[in-house]
Amino acid sequence: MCVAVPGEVISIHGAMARIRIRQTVLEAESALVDHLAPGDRVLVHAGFIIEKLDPEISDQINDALTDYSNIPRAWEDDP
Amino acid sequence: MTRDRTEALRAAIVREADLPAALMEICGSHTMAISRLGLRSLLPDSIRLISGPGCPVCVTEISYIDHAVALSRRPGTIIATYGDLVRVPGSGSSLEKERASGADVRIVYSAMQALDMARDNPDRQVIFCGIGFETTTPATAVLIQTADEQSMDNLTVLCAHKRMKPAMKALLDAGTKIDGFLCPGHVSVITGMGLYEEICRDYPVACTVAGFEAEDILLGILSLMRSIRSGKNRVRNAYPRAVSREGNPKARGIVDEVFESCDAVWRGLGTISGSGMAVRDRYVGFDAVRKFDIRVEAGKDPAGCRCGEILRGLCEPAECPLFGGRCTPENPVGACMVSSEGTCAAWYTYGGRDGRG
Repeated sequence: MCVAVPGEVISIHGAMARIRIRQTVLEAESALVDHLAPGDRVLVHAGFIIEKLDPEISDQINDALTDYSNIPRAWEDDP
Repeated sequence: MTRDRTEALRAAIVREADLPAALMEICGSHTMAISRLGLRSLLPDSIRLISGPGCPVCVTEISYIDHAVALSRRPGTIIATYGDLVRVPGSGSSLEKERASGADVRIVYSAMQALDMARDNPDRQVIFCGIGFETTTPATAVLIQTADEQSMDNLTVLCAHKRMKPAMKALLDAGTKIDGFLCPGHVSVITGMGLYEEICRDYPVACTVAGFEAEDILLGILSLMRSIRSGKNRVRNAYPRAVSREGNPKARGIVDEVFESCDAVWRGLGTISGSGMAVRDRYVGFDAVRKFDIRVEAGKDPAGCRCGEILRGLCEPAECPLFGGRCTPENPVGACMVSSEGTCAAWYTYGGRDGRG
């Protein structure tokens, strides 16, 4: 039930935002996040945007996963 | 999921798995993903994955369903509910059965659809079934705030929202053997990492927040095994692309404005202090329990059903005498089978520990 899906903000109008999720465009409530802008990547849960995603961190993770030889070290947050 | 990445993760986990470990996931989406992706089959025997009380439908007490059923029978009532709830059996009926008998039960994707229903039906009472953990509670809070701003008097919430941390502590206090929690990614989007710091400080258990792709979950397991093997009760974040340390303070602020914590009954776990969310007095007009004086008896689990033990990780679905016989997804007896994210539904659909149900 806590499924949330990532999407991209297309436009904002009032309390609602149009979000592209893969090939689908839907409306989502924006009341739970501040400073939304078109192009932001967001998480949508049950019709609400619940968080903006950090593309920089996302890219870092994808890089770490691509270099799978680093996986044993990639998730160390403490040496 | 690529084969190379998955194999690299699996090999890394195996290197950390020289001690037995019991890891509990406490999110229904994790439960389904682990079964659907067959992740148990990738892990060494020393790692046991246990499904905890992470499916909000499964932990919703029977008397809540009975209450919703009773409200649905009131003339002029519209019940608005997430789809997960409609088939859950109460003591004698379900919202689905009531709908078949003529009750107006409508499935919503977003809580805000209940607002539209109330606006479109000013002569009827719309009751929204508010269930779910910290991920879902903010939506209900926004619904109530918006209805209040618009002075709506025909919309209420039957609230059974729950908080995850008290349930985790209750499991540990009851002596359930857990070495690590695979923590729910989207609950943590709202709560942030602080939710788990008290747990790791006060109990000998590790916590790692994980996402929902196969690699996310395997990374979470790897992180937990590292913490357990090092002997450190660590809080780690294996889902940083979505979860921050501080979470979503705006969402929490809206929730705090509308709700206050209360004791709540969890199916299988009993009453857990401070684990529920109650509508604050300021918004009393939007609380269905206080607006409509309907009393229901305490519900009883169906005879033979072991959902309660399954939700505490004390037995596996195949150990329940009803599993796969009297209790199937088509004809569910217990909540863990009726919910699409229930442990029994996952085991029935995708197979259990060894790929067999």
